Amino acid sequence: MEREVHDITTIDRMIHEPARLAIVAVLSACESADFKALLHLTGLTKGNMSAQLQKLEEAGYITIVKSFQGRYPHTDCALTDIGRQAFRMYWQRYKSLGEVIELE
Amino acid sequence: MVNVLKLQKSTARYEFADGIREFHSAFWILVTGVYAWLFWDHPALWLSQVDTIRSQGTLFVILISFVLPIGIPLVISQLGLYYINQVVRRRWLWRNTGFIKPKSWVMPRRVLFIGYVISLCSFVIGILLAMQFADWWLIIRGIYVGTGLASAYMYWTLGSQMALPRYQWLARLGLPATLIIAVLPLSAGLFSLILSLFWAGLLTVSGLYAMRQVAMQQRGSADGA
Repeated sequence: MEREVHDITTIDRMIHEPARLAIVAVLSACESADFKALLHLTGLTKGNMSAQLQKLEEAGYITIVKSFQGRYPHTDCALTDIGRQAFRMYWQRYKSLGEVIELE
Repeated sequence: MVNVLKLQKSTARYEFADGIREFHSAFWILVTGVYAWLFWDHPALWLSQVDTIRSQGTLFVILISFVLPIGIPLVISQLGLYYINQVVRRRWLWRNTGFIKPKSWVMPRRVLFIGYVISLCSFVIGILLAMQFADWWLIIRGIYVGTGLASAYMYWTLGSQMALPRYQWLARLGLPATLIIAVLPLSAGLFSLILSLFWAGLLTVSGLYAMRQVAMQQRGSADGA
């Protein structure tokens, strides 16, 4: 039981937050995605998306590349190796917790 | 609650949702079918080149006679298709929903491996039948039938994994058609051409259907905006 409690309390909170988890889930299934695609797939608002992307970038989990396509700004996001590893570990821990928790 | 698996599936499916990949595949299948038909059924076209090479005998002539007429159109087509895909997607299909760069390995490696095994088995069966009936064209049929069966398997599996019913329809129609065309009394070249035409046609229809769906969604989101 002690291990399970330890697993719950030490889960990666950077990824565990729902909005960030959605972003990381999308980026884990592709090489990169732009801002519009992330909005479309996650359903987050623009403001929330920008804030969460900034936090993930500060944590070193994603890279953000800003450019212009014609006159329009374009933001491309991709998981870093650290981010992919962190998501992999988070997901393994999350699944193992799901096996332990029993609902009456 | 975030449905991680659903999000990952939606993202992986994004690359296939607009039908562009089907057009790519249809083009290449058609090109290989036409080349095979010309090679097997119209040898006079390229045998004259062989005579030229024999008389000239240099590597440069081989390059000019074979590699360039085949290689350059293929390279230009591939680059052209890639450019068209990028432009069509950025300006139209993915204009409102954004751009995703898919993973290098889009098809799961296990699925690719099983596809190769199916192709190999068909090739081996073709060799055995050729030895049995002393008809070496059966080897060519074995290769093409194997490719058709492997394609049907891969499309079925992709369709199941990514919840793309039209891919499962490709498999449902492609598999029996491949087997039926395989037993028709056709020359090797004509068999290759007809099988390629069928698969290319099937993929084109599938791609057009998907593109129409995406176009309607784009129009809907533009009207709503």
